[in-house]
Amino acid sequence: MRLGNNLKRCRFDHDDISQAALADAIGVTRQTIISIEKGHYVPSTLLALKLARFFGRPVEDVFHIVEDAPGNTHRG
Amino acid sequence: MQSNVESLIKLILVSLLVAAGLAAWLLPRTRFVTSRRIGDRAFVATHIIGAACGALGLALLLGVPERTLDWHLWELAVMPYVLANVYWIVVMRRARPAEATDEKQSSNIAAGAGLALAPLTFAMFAADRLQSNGLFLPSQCFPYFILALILSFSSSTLLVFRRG
Repeated sequence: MRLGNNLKRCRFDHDDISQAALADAIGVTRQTIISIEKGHYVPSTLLALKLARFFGRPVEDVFHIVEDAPGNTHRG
Repeated sequence: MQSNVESLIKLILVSLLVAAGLAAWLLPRTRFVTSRRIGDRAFVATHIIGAACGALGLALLLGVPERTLDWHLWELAVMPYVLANVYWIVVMRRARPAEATDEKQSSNIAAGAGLALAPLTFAMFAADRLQSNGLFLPSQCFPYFILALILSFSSSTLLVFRRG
């Protein structure tokens, strides 16, 4: 399983706030927001909660678990 | 001639180090540096400088070893990277160190350091082989290690950063 996110949708719903403005508001760099949106970087719990609080939503609305397709599981 | 050049380079190195030390101490107390965060551009620039300094220093050290050691050219090659890190120190002293870099940058640095172990181990193995064949001076070992470390760490961190 991996971490999915609705960050792009949340930004759109939040007056289409730009990645740079969101990064400034949260206190991270724009590259971090880009990487989270693309699913390349898994944020810390603190950052995930900060993002959820910024959008005024439960954290589960911003981040969710994506289950692997059957037969695509990893051992260990 | 040689001692004049050596003295001049030593003077430049000491002057730069003293200026960097004063900057790291004084600048955070002034209004000249307002940034409290290492931005993406500064992060990337620092590691590009590191990779370039490491590569240049290694080229000098392996190409003209005696002159590089006698004239302190490898220390001169490393100086831009040292100054870039002084900027980090200045920013970190204006903010709390944990706030100066964001968590992805910290994660990239940690991953870059881990990734750098592989090329660094290979570089040290190569140096060991060269030394056992008499092609590598014992006095080259420390500069070689520092330069290879900076090159591999900066390159690896850039690679990890670019991959997201």
